[in-house]
Amino acid sequence: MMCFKWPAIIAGALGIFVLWLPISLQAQLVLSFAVLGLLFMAMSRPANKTFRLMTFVLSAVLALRYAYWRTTETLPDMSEPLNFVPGLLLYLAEMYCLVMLGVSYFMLADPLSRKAPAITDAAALPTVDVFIPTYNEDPELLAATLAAAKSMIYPRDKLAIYLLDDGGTEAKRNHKDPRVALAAMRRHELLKSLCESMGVNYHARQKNDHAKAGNLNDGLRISRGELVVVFDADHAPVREFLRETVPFFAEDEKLFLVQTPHYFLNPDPLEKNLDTFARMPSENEMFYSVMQRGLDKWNASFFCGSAAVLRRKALESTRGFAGQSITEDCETALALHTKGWHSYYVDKPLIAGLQPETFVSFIGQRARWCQGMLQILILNRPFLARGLSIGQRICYAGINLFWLFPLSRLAFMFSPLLYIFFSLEIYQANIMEFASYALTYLISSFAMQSYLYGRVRWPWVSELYEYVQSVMLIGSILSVVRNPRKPTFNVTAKGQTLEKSMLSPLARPYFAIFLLLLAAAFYSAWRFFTEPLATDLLMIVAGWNLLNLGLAGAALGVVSERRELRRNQRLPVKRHALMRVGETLHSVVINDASSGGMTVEFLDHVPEIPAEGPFTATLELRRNGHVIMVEVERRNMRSGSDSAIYGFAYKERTPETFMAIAELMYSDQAVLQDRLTRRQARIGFFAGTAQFAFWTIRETLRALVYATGRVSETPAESIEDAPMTIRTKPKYRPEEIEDGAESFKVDSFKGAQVYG
Amino acid sequence: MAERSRLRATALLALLATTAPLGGSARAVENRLQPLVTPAAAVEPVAPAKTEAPAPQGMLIPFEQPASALRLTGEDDSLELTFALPERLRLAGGTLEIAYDNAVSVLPDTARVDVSVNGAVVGNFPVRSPNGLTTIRIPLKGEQVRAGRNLVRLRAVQHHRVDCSLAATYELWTRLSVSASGFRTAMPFRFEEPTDLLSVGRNSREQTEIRLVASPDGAPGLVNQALPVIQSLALAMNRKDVVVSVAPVPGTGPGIDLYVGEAGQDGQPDAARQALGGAAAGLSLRDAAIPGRAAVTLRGGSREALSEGLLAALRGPLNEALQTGVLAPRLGGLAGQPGMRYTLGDTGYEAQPFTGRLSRARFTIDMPADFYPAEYDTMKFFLNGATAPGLMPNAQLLIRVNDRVVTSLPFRNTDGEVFRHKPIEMPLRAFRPGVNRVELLAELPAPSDAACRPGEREDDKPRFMMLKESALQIPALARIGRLPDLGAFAGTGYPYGRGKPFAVVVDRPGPETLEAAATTITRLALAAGKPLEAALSYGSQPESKGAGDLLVITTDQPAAGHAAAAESADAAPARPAGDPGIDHFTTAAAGHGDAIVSAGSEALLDAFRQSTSGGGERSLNARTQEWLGQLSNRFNSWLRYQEAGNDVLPEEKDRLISIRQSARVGGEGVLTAIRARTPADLQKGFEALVEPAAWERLEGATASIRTGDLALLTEQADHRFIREITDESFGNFRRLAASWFSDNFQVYIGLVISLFVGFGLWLGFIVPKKGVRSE
Repeated sequence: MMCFKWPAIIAGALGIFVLWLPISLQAQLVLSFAVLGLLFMAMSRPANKTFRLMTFVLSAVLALRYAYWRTTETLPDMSEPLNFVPGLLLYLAEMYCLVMLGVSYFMLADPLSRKAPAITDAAALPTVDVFIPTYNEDPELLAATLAAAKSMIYPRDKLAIYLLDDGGTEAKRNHKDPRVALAAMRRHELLKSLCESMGVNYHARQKNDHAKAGNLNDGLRISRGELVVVFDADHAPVREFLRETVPFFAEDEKLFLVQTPHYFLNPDPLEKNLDTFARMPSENEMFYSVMQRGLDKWNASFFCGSAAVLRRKALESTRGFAGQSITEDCETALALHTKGWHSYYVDKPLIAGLQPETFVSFIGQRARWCQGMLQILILNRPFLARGLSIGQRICYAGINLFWLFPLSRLAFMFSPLLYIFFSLEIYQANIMEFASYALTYLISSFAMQSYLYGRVRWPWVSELYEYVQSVMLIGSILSVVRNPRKPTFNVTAKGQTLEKSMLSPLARPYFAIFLLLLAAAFYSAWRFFTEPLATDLLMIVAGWNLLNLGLAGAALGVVSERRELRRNQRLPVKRHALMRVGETLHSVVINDASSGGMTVEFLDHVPEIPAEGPFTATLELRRNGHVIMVEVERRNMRSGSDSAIYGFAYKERTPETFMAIAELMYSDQAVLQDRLTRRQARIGFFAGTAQFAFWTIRETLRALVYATGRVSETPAESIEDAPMTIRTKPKYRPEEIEDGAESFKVDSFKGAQVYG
Repeated sequence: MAERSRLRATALLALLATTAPLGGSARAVENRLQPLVTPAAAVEPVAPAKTEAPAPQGMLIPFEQPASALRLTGEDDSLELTFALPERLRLAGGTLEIAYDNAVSVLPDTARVDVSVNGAVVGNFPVRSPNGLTTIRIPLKGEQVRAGRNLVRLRAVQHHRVDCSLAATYELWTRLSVSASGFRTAMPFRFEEPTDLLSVGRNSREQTEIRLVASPDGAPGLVNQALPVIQSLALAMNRKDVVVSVAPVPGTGPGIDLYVGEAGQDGQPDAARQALGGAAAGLSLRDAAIPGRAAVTLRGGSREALSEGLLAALRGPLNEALQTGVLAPRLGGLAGQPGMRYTLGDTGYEAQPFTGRLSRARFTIDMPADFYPAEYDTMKFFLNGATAPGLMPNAQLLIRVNDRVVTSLPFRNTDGEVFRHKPIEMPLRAFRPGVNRVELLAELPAPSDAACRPGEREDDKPRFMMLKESALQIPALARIGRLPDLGAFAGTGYPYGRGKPFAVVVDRPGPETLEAAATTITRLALAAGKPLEAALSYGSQPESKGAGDLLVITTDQPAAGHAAAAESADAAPARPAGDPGIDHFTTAAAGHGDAIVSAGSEALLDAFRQSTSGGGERSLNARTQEWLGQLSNRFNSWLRYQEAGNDVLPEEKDRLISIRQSARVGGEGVLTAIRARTPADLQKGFEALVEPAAWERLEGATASIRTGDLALLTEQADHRFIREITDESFGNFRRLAASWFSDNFQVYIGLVISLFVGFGLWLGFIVPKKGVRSE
């Protein structure tokens, strides 16, 4: 096939030369339509790699033509600085987007789908240390994660779990503020007891140096496992986690990382406030279901801070986790990639975690990511880093550069205003030129967006996410550019509740921008109908402003926080169980479960449950002959489609209860996968646009209701979960749990191992 | 002998070439920019004499500009005219005579024309002659004029009687009579010196005629020996309306009779024998028998002697005429040198506040003959100027190139706006090789125009000013000699004006064919700015094969009389094989009269449809179909770089005369054929064709004069051939590629898709093997 290499390269180079010829508008229009036609034809067979790459090439033809035209013909003359300067800024924003488009095409050239190899010799399995770093999370949240981690299928003598508590460090316990010191001591004792009772290791280091990276490195210091698993405090793994990840390390001695996706039980503020969580794919699914797979092709999938397995030997080669930036995960991966280590990505949800619930905490999290990634871009300069392949350089530069999107997004938002209000012509084109170059390029971009991401991203949702973040992240970008070493690690608040619906404290600028764009829309309409020489440009710009207004309207909904009373996030498990009421066992289906309780549907015979007053029962879960029992008490009842559905809460929450919760929620990976698959359905461009237009109108009105203080909500009673109870002596010791042995037996492990 | 003759001719070319300024911007006197406003306080009112006074006895020296250029249009327009005055008559002075008429719509109360001569104001006069010519006479003293060419500047300010709208300004015109206007000498005029040629008058057809006194039916030798002289005289006079006739007797009316050779030379008619017999050797000038007519003799017994005589005149007395005429930078015109930046000041434009509703500024750009007009770049005009507050929001600046609006700049700011180097882009495709006419039209309506009440009209309030620092930037051009291109032919003489000899074949010797041949050669020499080495011969069948460039004058029938009403399609000869195809058709307003034109079948059908469509209500479906059809036609025309509605092709019988360029089969040369069916058609058609207004609008592969209205029709070629590439730089090849691909975008699209599909296929093969293998 070498014989085709040089002709193909020459064809490509000649093609680029031909594309950069200043041809006529007529030629461009016909070329655009011809290429669009071919593009849609190539999209008809998404499974075919050649067709896939053909779509990239054809889309690139239109993008390059647009870039050429934009560069040579649309920039204002330098002699008009009022036009030229903003025009240049808009141009740079667009060129940034084009560069990112090119990088994304490279990343997504051939996404991989990895499948874990079978384990042939359990005795040869490496030892694994599980690190659960924590700082200020609730003990109940930690208990759930620890229980899930303990429930993972793996030889017990090869698995050690560490709770790395940065909230109870010696420095914290000796803090000069007695309140802080007291809180740290109480936390230290409580978590120590929890860990002791659950049979896991508790460790609190002396000082809180280097935040999470420092905490993990101290964990490395006190542990000896060949592999290290990192789970965030709210990331509870499913039982199969290690079975789906660890075997890869036997395949590749240079493998340092197996990363898995982050699956979230709760909606982020956009999903919650726009009420899309049940139907629309989450924001991170595009990254985990598409981007990381693409990065994996170029050995550039990177550590995301949690839900990953790392090789100790590799970490030692770079002196542990990197801590120069506040995104230690990506930085660590970059350092290891430069040393020649490999990374894998497994596109299978194996943990369930939480997202920030409020817009404030959401922005806080994104500000950290943004600043951390830009720190890496500035301090580590991945595109120039030695030891990386060209592919890795492009991928790392791309994922870091992505975080400059607030600059381009805001440029797109505000540019039309310059023409509408001040008649500044910063984009010089008539409507035919716009149709021939820009419109066809936009059509190809939307088509490619749908082709590549349609399963995981609805139309206009990316733009909305970008916009709501951009308004707040612009300051973060300026700060990190001014002083790249200044940003400090902040822990994202999770598990928050909101007693009543209200505007976010950050809502004010979003309202201001919306009103500005609304005024621009009215003014542009007035100009259009009153100016005798209303130009093509005015029409283009007014349309552009309307799109921006739609985004801004939908964003008002994002910052109008709906109340959130739920303390624990439910997972639809659909699992059979037995419920003992008195002396009678009833078959039930557990519809969904959370760390606070569950909903239950009786299958055959509904016991007599009084309408009022306390009612307790015992839930029995069985796995491989082992019975797990947990006391529950009735909370509520509602009518289901077939029968009544009862809500139960745990009567008490002991470590054993949390083990039962882990069994209930995280014993089956398919539960997570099913929910993910159900949401990942394509929606067409026009249907998506109509949906978005509906959101814009609905959310704008809702935000105005919030802003005028006319929210009418009935007070809802929120019943506390059962408090966590820790007995001095744990009921379950690792060596006492034997059910895992059966699990391994039915799975692919072979040989005489000790599993408990 | 022939070689020596060629050497002589080459020496003549070299002489002219060395006297030509290198790359200097041409200054045209015939296309002046406006506005030219003399401050009122500076004008000393001069009461010009009216036509009732008895006419002086001297001769009327006409303006050098052709009749088509003598119009003042709009509310404020100016003209620059020239006339040539011999030194011996200067001191006596004379009278500037301006014979004019004007549109009925011009308001006589406020309309006036300011007149200046050689920069000095000499007077003004009201415009009030809607019913016929009125001659204004302004006496000029000897010190007010100069020997040689004098510059007369006229600035007309005129307003509409009842309508203050913008559209009404297009109805305003004042027209000068080319035959009755000029400078009348105070003393009797006699043709004595060669430079007196510049003062010669025009004939009844308002043309400057050079008549070669020779037998049109004789051997071509006499004509050939006269061709260099004719061209040289035309170059010295530098008149765009020069025509050449060939007859055995001198002409009548103002003009030039030319006698070349020796009295005893074979084939000389009697009149020539008489004239040459008494003439001195070399070039001499005297009065002809008819008043106002000059007799020029170039006496010599051999070609060498004739060349020496001519060279002596060109180096001597005629040198100044050449230097101040055809070789001088033209005021009002720009040489379109690639990469150059010209200011409006370079065109002679003078900035003044403009008070009317429609400001006009005109200039010409001479684009190179091998210029390839396409979209690889744009011509940029940088506006420096300002608008006054209070204009309507629909005020705008329009730029017209070759009579088509190509771009506009809206003046949106009704509070007034200052423009500093405001770029306005003009598509290069609007230009063509040769002379291009550019008009800057500022439409400046104000709210007060709607009422237009006497006393409330804002005719004197400044509305716009464009500074002379406004500039035109000519980009790097794609350069390739592409033919056929009648624009380059008429505008620059290309390819005949490149200095190489070429053949001229006349199928039937006769006064009509020889006039066409000699006039065409002369016009080409004027366009090229130098005499051309043309060799005339007679032949029954024009040779379409062979090397070298060829100019053919042919008529299908020897019989006189044109059968304009001939209906038989058989009468129309079939198009010769190898003729260029036709894909474009435009008309220019160069015709005379309003004769009904028999159009093509499609045109007839269109006319029928239009005439019958207004009778009754048509269904929505029919109207929708018609609208879609029009939309489709417009889009198709746009795709072919044409203007919609100009796709009616004339039938052969409707072509009085045609000029067509094509490649010579089997050679590198180009064949330009001027063809008519009869000599009478040729004469009539050629007269219309060489009118300056028509000649400068020639373009494409074929141009025709339509029988009925003498309108000029031009047709683009769908295929052109490359004659030469003078610039072999990478940049030029890139621009050429862009131009060619734009004209042939099917090829471009096929190429792009082929290249990238090939590249994509290879990527599909190679990518799974790269990185982590995924085959």
